[in-house]
Amino acid sequence: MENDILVIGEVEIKNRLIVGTGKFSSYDLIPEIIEKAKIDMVTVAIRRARDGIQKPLIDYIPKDTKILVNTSGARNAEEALKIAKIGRELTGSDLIKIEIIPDTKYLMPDNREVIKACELLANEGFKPFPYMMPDLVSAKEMVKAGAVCIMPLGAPIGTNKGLVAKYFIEMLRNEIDLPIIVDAGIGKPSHAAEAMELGVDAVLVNTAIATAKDPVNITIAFSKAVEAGRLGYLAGLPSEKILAEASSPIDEYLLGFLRK
Amino acid sequence: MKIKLNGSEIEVNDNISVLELMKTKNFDSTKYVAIVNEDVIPKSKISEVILKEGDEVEIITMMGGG
Repeated sequence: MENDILVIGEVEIKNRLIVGTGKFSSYDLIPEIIEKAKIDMVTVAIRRARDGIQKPLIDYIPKDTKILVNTSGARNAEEALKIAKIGRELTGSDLIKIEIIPDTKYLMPDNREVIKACELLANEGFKPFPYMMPDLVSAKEMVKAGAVCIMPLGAPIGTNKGLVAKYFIEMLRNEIDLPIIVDAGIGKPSHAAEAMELGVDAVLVNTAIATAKDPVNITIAFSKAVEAGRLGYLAGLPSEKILAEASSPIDEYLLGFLRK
Repeated sequence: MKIKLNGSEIEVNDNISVLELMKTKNFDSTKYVAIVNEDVIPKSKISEVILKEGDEVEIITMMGGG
């Protein structure tokens, strides 16, 4: 485990639980979560500033925490590029989460535009983290277009439904030779462990943490679940069987003794 | 002269730079990014870009997001 370090786009991510900063009742929770659960990477969005007086989000994020800007609000690849350029000025980092969502009901990502955006942004020197509908054909196109990892959804954003797309995520894990981060839909720590047991490299959680009764402790729980799932995967999980198999087979002596 | 800042018309001194405008409005230039007429202004250039009448300036920052 000590040498099991995740590197994406040449950046080392020490905690495989990435936390989204949306929906918190107060930004004051964010530094506490980062510190207590030892979170190494967070995601943020960008918006027009209201005024220069209110403390901006960046003031709540400890200096050594990696910040991944998302392109939320973009409906196509060109808009994603505009947001990415602003994000790069804000963070000084080339890492960018591509999020292109034209559908407001289920918040489904538009894989076709995400593929285009990967190419457009990679050509501008960005390292794209594409949020996508888990589809192997699209994922392969994203890899070709310059993605540095793949971010399939577990379930639609904010639904807490867990790994609804499990089978398709497994397909990506088996066929894609880049880090995979399950993003969206992870509603409880056991979902996070389940994802990690599949062999994905990290999970991103936001709603389940930000809307929990105790966001700090649930982040610690998620972090432990991620670690447990990872360790389980690395240790090698046994295969499932249809018929039962005794843990302590009875030997002939005992059988004879009992049946006499 | 008049410019637009975040969608609202305001009065500023002639030949004001983006950096000066940000200072006047209490925006710490290390934590906000300025967009002038849809061009993202690199942080290294904010003192060099001089605004003119009718320019549209947007000040952008990070907010919570997943």
